[in-house]
Amino acid sequence: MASLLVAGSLSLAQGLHAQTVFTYADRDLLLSFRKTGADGGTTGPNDFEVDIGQASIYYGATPGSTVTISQYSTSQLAGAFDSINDLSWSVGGCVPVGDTGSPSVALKTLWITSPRYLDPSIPGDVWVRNSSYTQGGTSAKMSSILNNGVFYSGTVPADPNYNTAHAIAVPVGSDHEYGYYMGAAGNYGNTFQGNVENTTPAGFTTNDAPSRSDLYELDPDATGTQPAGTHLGYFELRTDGSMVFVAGSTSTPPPAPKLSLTVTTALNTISFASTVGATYTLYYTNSAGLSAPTATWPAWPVTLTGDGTVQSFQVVSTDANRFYRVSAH
Amino acid sequence: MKLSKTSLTGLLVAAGLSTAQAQTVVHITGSTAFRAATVNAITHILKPGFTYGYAGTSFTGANQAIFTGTTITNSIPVIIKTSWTGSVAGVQTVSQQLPVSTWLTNTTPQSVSGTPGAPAVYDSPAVPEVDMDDGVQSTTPFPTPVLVAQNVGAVCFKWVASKGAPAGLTNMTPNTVQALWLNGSLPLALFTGVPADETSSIYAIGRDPDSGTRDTAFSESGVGPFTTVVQYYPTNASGAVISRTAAGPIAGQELVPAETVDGIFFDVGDGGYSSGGDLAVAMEQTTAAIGGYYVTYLGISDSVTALGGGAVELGWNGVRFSDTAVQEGQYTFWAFEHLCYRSNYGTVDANGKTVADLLATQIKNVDAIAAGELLSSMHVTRAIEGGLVTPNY
Repeated sequence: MASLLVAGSLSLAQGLHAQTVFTYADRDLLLSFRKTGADGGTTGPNDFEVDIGQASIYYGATPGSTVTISQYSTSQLAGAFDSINDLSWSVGGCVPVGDTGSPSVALKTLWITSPRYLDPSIPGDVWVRNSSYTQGGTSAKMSSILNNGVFYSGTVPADPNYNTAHAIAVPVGSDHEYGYYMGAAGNYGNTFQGNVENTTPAGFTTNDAPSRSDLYELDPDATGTQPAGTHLGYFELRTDGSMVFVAGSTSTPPPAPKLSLTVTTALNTISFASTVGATYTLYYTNSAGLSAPTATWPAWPVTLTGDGTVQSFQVVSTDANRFYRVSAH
Repeated sequence: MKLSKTSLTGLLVAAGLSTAQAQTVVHITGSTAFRAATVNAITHILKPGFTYGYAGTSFTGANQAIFTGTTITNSIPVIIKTSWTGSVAGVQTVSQQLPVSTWLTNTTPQSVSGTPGAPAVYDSPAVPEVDMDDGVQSTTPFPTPVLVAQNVGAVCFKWVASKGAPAGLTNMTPNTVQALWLNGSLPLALFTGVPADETSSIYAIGRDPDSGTRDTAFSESGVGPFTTVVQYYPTNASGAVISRTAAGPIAGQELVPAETVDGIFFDVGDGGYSSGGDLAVAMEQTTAAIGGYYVTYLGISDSVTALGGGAVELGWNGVRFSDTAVQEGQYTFWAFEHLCYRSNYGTVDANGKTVADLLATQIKNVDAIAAGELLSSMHVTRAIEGGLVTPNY
């Protein structure tokens, strides 16, 4: 163990700061929200940053399972912004230089979101793997966001909503905020290959579509061929402000199924061409429930696993009208 | 009779207090890059016959010094104590009234020619009144309370490679600085353009976050002053970090361990040397043991030490440092130096503030040359470290 002997020059320095409340560990993922007004919406006075725990929670999740993001509440998010319409969000994490965790995950591995821009059922861009040096730039930006969140936490009093062990609100315009390191283009200050941020539409809270972003694991690549990253699943921001992670297969996400419906008296048959390995879940509602967000539609208890053939859900319904949607992951 | 004794005693006590109050003490902290200019200036504002002592063997490179004398202007008896903690730490300690624990005591050996080797015997911790800041307070993590700041010169810096660096390593650019400090290392080929150098490495080495030199280097290069970076420590055969008190040769290296500076946690690799003098010594070492070379940033005074020991000066954006290159705007790795104190200094200690103002004037008119450029020689200006350099005419 090396040592450097330096005469102590500062004393009582730690007494300067309030107790640091927000903390993190290497390999934690950070969920970040901001409102930039870039899409014509309002701007927010703060960025809201949430440590959602170790990456292993997400890459280790059973395919098809759902992880509820519990490190923030919908009331916290609602209080941080004037609304969650036009709200930009991303999730990112890395194995930083100096990490002492399992070497089975390489230094400068990134976990990073790819937004589903137009249709939450259509996967976002497939992020590719780059060299250790290239990913090191993004890794440093991610670490900077976390470290500056910790710093800012120590300069303000603890707060049950905006300076907690898992969440910190940092003023926009500060050198310590998420946006300072992410940049206007949402690409970690031009160190990453594309925009990692999703932005909810103007009518997000009143429509029925969630906001989704796929999560990729990008191990550093030494071949120079930029192979595709590993798709781990997707995060889903719901219209009430809650969020879940839906674990997927470790391959490129399946395409959204194209549905056909046949009705024979009370038997409804919902058919689609399936993708090998994909898991399909049927959601339904009736006329009375049609105005509710789709995220709240009941799920049919049976899921189907794709095998490349046409597969079908069969449902007996006594409703005058019945509406269906099928998710694939 | 009894009353008279009591009155006499009271008078003696009052006289003693008056004598104690007459002794002005000024504590100066902050920039190690500007310490040579500052201590030279101190010797120039005191009447002949003043005495001084300092730690170590180098007067202009000493971490601590003490001066006892009377100012030429206004004849103020004064003891001036310097303890250089880094520019950013200086802003913090002065603005937020935090005590520094390394002020040499009044009994430190002093002489008119300067006595080296001051023992490490310190006063009780005391709050410094004056800070030398490389840049502006707003770019530090401690922007408030706002200090009174006087621009006293342009402090200049250099990119430097370690001893033995190949001839093809000549220059740094914003791209190579950002890529190097965000990763901690880069292939040498990115600097030399030689394919065979892809298997050799350049490693980042540098100062801790208390340093104004670091603040300026990362502002100037686009890394960002608060960005988390990756820096290494070279170590000797005993495992000690190479410094003025731990000699080389380099036998290995390690990422700078996680540390808490100014009460702020800095992750593994993000810290660094607390002294430019120690960093300069590290750059004088050959680096065969690590399979590559170091690159760092140094103030002019520390770069003289390093280059004298075999380190290699690098250009910045293709331009080598020279006074003319700085003054005319081709070489942009510099910042304005500020002498800072709290806004109530004149109320708390009028003589102390006068001494500080005399010092600022002396540096501005004469002694800034030891760390960079006189303001009067500059034909360009900038609003902030790393900011656009434009003509001032």
